Amino acid sequence: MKKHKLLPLSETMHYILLALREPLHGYAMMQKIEEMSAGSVRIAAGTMYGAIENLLKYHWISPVETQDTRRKVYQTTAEGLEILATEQQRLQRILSLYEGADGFEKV
Amino acid sequence: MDLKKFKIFFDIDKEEQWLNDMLSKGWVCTKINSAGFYTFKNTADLEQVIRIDCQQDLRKEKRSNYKQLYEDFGWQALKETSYDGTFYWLKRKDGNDQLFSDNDSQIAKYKRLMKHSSNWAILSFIWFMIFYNNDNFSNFLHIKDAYFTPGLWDKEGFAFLFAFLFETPFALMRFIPPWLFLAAFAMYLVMYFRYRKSIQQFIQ
Repeated sequence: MKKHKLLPLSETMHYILLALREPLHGYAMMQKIEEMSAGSVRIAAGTMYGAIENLLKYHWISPVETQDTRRKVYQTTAEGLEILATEQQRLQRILSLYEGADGFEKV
Repeated sequence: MDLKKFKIFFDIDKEEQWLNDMLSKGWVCTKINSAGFYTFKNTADLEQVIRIDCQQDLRKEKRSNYKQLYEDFGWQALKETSYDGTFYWLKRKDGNDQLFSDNDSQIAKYKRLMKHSSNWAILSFIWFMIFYNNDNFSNFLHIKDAYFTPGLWDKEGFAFLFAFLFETPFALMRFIPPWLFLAAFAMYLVMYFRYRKSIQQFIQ
């Protein structure tokens, strides 16, 4: 199978998909991600806009209807959650290697 | 007090640099005209920053969505509309003064700029070819051939002067467009290769 263009997920994409398990608009996403990453990831406006467009293109997130007519709110789709699940497996494998799995030296 | 300047840039990064240099001297840009005219206003607030973004194909709904998002992040648009896809954003410095925070989005920006310049290069070249084929090629190189009046160059005195001056506007209209489009083509080509070079710093 040909690898998807966005895989493995970049740090930005990872945090956005994780943050959007609850519906949020762009700026709220940035704030939430800053909090989730303990202040280490602060996504800039242009990067946020481009990432949203990209994720919408692959239907990993979708717009959610709200009362706010000016700001668009998004949420991770079922497809997006599947992507997160496969990424979790990939990262768990790497983490287990860090922790010395299968007789490999612990880092 | 207003200050007006005319400047043409081949590179969005250089333009951004210049606008920020002006800011550090106390001149904030208030108006930008696509033809290259910039209007500046005196400001005491030196802690501001300008960033230029390039976004094509932003139709009505998408554009307001794009603007709302940038405004939420504290950016203020210098221009309400954009014909060439460039957007100028101003804000007070607060430590988060970039539009892009990762490599992928930086690369994507330069790719958009490359696409933009190559599209315009192709379009300019097509226009050049249309003008080139329209009249014959020789009047593109020799301005004398752009005068169609029979026997013009054999006339003398007033008869010559009158016929010459009468046709000059028409001759210029035949002579200038191909050169203009050729110049535009060259300019966009230069821009394309500059952006291609700029992208390298983000690709290992």
